[in-house]
Amino acid sequence: MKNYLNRLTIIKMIIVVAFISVATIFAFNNSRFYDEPIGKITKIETKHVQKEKKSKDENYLQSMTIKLMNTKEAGTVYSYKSSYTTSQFRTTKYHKGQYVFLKKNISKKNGGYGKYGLKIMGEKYDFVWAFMISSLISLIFLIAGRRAILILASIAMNLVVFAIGIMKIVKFKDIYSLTLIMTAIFIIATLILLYGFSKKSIGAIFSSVTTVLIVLGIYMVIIHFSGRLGYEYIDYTNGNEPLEELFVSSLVFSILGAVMDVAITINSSVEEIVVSGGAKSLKEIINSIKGISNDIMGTMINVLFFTFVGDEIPINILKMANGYNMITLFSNGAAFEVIRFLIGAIGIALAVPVSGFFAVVLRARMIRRGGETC
Amino acid sequence: MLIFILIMMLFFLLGAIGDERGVASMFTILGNMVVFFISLGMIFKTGHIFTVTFFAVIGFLLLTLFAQNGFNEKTISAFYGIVIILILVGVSSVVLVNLSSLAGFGELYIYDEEVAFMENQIGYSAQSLLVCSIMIGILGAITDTALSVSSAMYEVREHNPSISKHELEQAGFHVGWDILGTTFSTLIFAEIGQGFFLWLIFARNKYSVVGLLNSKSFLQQTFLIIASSLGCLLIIPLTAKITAKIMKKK
Repeated sequence: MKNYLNRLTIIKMIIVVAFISVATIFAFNNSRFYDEPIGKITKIETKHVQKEKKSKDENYLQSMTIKLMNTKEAGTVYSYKSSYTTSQFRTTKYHKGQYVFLKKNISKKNGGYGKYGLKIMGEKYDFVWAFMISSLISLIFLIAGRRAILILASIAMNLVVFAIGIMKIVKFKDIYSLTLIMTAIFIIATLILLYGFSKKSIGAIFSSVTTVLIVLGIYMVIIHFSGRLGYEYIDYTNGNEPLEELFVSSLVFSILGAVMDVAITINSSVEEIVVSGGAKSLKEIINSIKGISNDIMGTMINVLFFTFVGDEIPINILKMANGYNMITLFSNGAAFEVIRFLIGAIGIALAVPVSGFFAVVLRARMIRRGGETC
Repeated sequence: MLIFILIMMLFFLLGAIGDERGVASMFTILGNMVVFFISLGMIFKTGHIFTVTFFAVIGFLLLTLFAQNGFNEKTISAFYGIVIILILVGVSSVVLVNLSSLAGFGELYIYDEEVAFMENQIGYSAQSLLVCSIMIGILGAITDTALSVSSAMYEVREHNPSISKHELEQAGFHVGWDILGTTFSTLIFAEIGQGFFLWLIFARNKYSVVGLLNSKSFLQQTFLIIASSLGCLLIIPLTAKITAKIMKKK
């Protein structure tokens, strides 16, 4: 039996590796399916050159040969020169074998090189996606078995709803209404898809919606009394947008997943406790909820903390190198990540009593009877 | 002012809802914030990105894992799992980031007026900074998943001490399956909210699917969440195996 299981695991692993390899190799070599000209760097030479006087970086010049892989002129070979600096914030270090998007007839002042006015417009990244998404899908199937379909369906559903929603939000009309409608769809779709139409998913839906509304209310009240924030310091904004409404909308979306996680955990646990008859009174159930919340709150809050701050490290270092200290960093942009994190943490903490309330109310009759029936 | 009120409110809620362990969580969070800002300062001052990241990760794990949950079989098993996944994700990220020239400004940086005009030849490698941000960014999600698996296995072993190693391992897998869906939701929505203003630019510029798949800005913004999801997936069987081995040693 053990041998059979080992063999089965090996076969599964071979299928996974084969799937990931095929997907990645296909995406790496799919230039012929593109309309834009794509070139492959077939030869590259890197030379250290004199650095600029004030620069902290070293400068390098890359001379390369690029072979055009698609369009009618496929097979044509071009020479190209490009320079990069060690920090590579605005410059790129290229590698042999790399695929790049090309454009011809660009004037010299706009970066065109040589007699064809060749310019690298960007790097081809679809193979990275192919590698990561095929790894993700195959690992979900390998670990979650048949439930993988439900997990993938819920991810796909959420992404589609978001893609449709953001196309409407970008028109900057009815942002709050759109946010609330999208929130309701996200919560209902995710929980029903993952946990079916059951008392615990209904409880989790009510708990999540209520928690989000309470958190939103708290934020609005505090903002009303503490004054408007300097929203124009948020990254990627231009000041012509309704920044406060958009930031509130982003806050709501940020906390949704974490709130749903707590809501379903509490609702599932209360159901298990009541059905198994493990708790005899309401006080015992409340104590159990407290115990569960102690286990999940801290680590859940940390998930948000690390996700929010991790992303910002490169840009924070760049800002510090440009003269920002911790205080200016904090008051210019970073403060919004801290607010996002704190609102998320408050959402997680509030989701515990709110979920406990709905879990108990929905099972009030069973609790009164001592949980002898389901 | 707003941040101060929110911190006070969080402190109050954690204390009221979770008793003394709730307050301990608050101190862990504050401790993590302090470690984060010190690490940022140290990276800036010394330029040793990976060395500082290594010590920062140790600091975060000491606080999140051991100070918050004690030094026991559960946390030791989770610790081993986390370290292995961090090495795996770290090495894969170095390879992928270098191979695809992913670091540095994406094509949409011009929309960030503040950053667009900054001096960018700063002497710190954008590639190393990106890998460091991925390693720190995935830490919360993989710690949460590893602890959920090892804690549940511990409870199962406590209630059924005669359980076999294989059955215990299976119990760990089952818990992993149960939490996967909501863990992904937490990560996806955190990303949707955090990158919201960037998503608006993508929507405004009407990017096609192929355009998104080849966009440096898009990949940079989503790389962390995908790395976190992969880390969570891999850590489930790994922690289940390590925990079963440690718990059934005696």
